[in-house]
Amino acid sequence: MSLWETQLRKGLAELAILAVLSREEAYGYRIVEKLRTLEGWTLSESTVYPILTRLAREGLLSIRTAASPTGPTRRFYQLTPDGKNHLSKLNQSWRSISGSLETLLAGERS
Amino acid sequence: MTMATTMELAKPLQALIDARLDTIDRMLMGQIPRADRLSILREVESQIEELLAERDAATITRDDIIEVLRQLDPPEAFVPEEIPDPAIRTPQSFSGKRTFSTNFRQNQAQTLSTGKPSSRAGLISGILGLSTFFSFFILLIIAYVIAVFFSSPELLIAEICAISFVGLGTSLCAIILGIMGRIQGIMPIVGMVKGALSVLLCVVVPIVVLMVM
Repeated sequence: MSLWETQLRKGLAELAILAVLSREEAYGYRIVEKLRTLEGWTLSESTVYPILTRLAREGLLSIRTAASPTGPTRRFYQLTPDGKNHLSKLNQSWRSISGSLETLLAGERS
Repeated sequence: MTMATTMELAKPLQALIDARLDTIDRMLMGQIPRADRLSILREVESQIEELLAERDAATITRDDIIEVLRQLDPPEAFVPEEIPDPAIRTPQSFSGKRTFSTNFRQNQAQTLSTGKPSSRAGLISGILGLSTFFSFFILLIIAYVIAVFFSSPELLIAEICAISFVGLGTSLCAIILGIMGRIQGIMPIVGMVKGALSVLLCVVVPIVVLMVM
């Protein structure tokens, strides 16, 4: 994988994590599992946990601890109001950039 | 480093998990805040337990633990990567681990690629160290000639003490400036080395002269 691709994927990981959490709260491993199912994009725990930790530190995520019926105590992450705003901004930026690029690439193809 | 373990494992098995967590902890030490490190470790430990919970707790073996650990990313994958500057591509900048030597090499590369020293303090240190070192010998010769001309050993001692005093001051300045700009090129290193040698000379020469005379 090229350096450019690696950096691109890493940069978008935050958006992907926030997108997962926009639907429902989830615990760390569950988020990793969900992101693993994305086609052509391997996001594993070494990428996800540091980002979750940073987002929680920045107040974009809140943490709720709950017992699990089978495994260990789970820490559920949830978007805070600031987190929702942040996701909205990232989403807007992503759409704007990807739209512009799509236009450029379409021109290249024609 | 066991954190919030709910699963009771035999000590040797728990030791395997602890060893993995400790390795990740060491990898992250100094890279991110302690609270973040603990949070990441808690998540990794939790993931290990989630994976082990799929098996019968009473029959978990060493091989089960190893198998679970094998599914995880290697500890070095947790080290935060920095986006490398394409202008200064060094092998170290892609490893993710930023060390003193990485900084030093990158700054050297920057200095070489731009052709100008990136640290004024380092440049002054180098010039000061070199000039102190060489002027010490020149001034010693001049002092000796003057003392011989006036046939005065006391004058020679006074001159050497004065030269050493001034030399000590300037060489200490060279060392301090070298420390301030030590990762910014070759000149600070020259300044520090020459400064240290000058300090040695400024201390040893007067003592030797006093002992001889």
